[in-house]
Amino acid sequence: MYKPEHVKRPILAETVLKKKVLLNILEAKVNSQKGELIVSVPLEGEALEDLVRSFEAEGVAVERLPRIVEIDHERCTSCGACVSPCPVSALYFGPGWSLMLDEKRCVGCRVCVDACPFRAIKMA
Amino acid sequence: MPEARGSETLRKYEEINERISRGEATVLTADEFVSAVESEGLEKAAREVDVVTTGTFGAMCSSGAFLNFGHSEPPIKMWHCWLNDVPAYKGLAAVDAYLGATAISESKGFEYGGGHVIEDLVSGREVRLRADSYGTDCYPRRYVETDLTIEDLNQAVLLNPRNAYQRYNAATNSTSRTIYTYMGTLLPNYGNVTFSGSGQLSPVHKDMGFETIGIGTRIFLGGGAGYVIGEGTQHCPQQRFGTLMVKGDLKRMSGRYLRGATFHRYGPTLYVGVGLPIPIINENVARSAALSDSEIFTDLIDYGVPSRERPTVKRVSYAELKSGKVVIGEEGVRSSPLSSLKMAKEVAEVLRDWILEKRFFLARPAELLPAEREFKPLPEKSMAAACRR
Repeated sequence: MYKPEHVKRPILAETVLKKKVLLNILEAKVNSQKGELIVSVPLEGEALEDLVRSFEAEGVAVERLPRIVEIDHERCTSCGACVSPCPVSALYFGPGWSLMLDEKRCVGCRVCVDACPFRAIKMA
Repeated sequence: MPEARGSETLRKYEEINERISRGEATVLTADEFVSAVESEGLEKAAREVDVVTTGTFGAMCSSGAFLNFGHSEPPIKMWHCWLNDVPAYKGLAAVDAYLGATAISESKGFEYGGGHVIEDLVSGREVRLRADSYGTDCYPRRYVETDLTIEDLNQAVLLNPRNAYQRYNAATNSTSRTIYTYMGTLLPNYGNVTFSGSGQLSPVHKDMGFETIGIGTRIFLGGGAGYVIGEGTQHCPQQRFGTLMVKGDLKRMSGRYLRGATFHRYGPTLYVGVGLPIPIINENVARSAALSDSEIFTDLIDYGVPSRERPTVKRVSYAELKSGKVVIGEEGVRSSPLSSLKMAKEVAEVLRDWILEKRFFLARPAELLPAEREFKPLPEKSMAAACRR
C-alpha cells in the first residue's frame, strides 16, 4: 500500500531493478491519493524478507496476503468455474475432473472466491 | 429408403427391458461406448450394447418446482408467498405455488435464491413459509407464517421448462475489463474461456436425431427418476441446440444432484444433474451415441459484446475445450468448464448401475420430440404502433 507522498515515485520499478526480482502484478489500484498493488513474488525465506524490508524502507506498507484459500469439499462440485479465471494456475483438475489446489502457487488474489458459484472457496 | 425416425431395427424397447430384468443387458456410459466403438468398430458395438447412459451437471436457470402447501385453519388464498424470503409465483390456486430457480431472496439478495430453497427442501432442511392475502368469504385468513420441510408438502414436483442443452456456446471476453456473466468470470483481453455441457457425455447430443427422446422418456433427474415431458423452451435441434422439458418427484431426489448456486453479479440459479438412457435401437442412434469430444463442436462467443448477436470468435470442439487450452489467434488461452464433468460422469455411471441392478427400465416415448423448431427473437413493435391499439 502506497501513501500519497509515494504515489508519484516509481518505487516498484526501482525495487525490481535494484533487487533483480521478477515481480508479477496481479492487481493495481493507483490514484493521486494512494495506491494498492497485489504482486506475486517468486521468492522465499531471507530473500523474501529482504524484499519486504526494501519496500518498507521506501515507505510502502506490505501486507502478506494469506497464501492459502480453503475449499469446502462438501460444497465444491468440481465444476471448474474457478479454474480458468485463476491468474496463477493454482486451481486445476486432477484425475477424474476433481478440482485441485496447488497452495504454493496461490497468491490469495481472491478471484476464485467470487468465481465459485457454490461459495465453496474462502480465504483461510 | 431411409428408415423412419425411431425405427427399432436393432432392438425393441421390450427386448431391452426383458434383457434388463434377466440381468443380461449390456449397458455402457457414453464415455465407455466411445471407447468401445474406437476399439471394436461401430457395427460390433451397436450389435452388443443395449443402452448407453449419459449425464450432465450444470447451471440450468429454467428450473423450478411446483409446491402444494396444504390448507391452514382458517384457510388462506395465498396472494404472495415467500420461502426463506424468496418469492414464489402465486398466480395459481390458493396453496399451489411455483418456485423458480433464479428468484432472488428479498433479504439476502443474489447470495440466496430459488435454487438454494430447492436444495434446502430436497435436503430435508426446514424452510420458512410466509404468505399474505386480501381475504375472501371462502378464504378469510390474510397472513400465515410457518416452518416447513419437504415432508410437510402434499406435492413437491421439480418441473424444468428448459434443461440439458445439447451443447452451449463457449465464452470469452474481448474487452479491457473483467466481466461477470452466467458463463462465469471472464477475464479481459481474451484472458480465459469458459464452457458448459459435457460433450461426449451430453444427453441430447447422444441422440441428436431425436430418435429415442420424447414425451414419456424415463430419465435420471436430480438423483431420482424423472421424465421428459416435451421439448424444452428454445428447442432448436437443427442448430444442435436441442433442449428438454422435464419433471420428477422432488421428494425422491437428492441434494447431491440439485445444488443452489450464484453467479457473481448475475444471480442465483440451480445446478441440475440430468442423465438420459439412450437405447441403441438402430444404427443412426449408435452413430450419434458414438460421437467423441473431437467430433462435437460449439461456437466460442465474445461475451464482451452486450448484444443478442454476439460475434463468434471461432468454432471449437469439446476436445479442445476440455484440453484446458483453446487457441485464439496465436495464443493458447486457459479454458475450464462451468458444468461439473466429474458429476456428469457420476450421473452417467449411477444411471448405468441403476439399469444393471434392475432398478430402472426404459420407456418408449409416446411422441418423439420435434427434430426441427424455429428459434425466434423478441419482436419489439414501435411505441407508435402500440399507442394505436
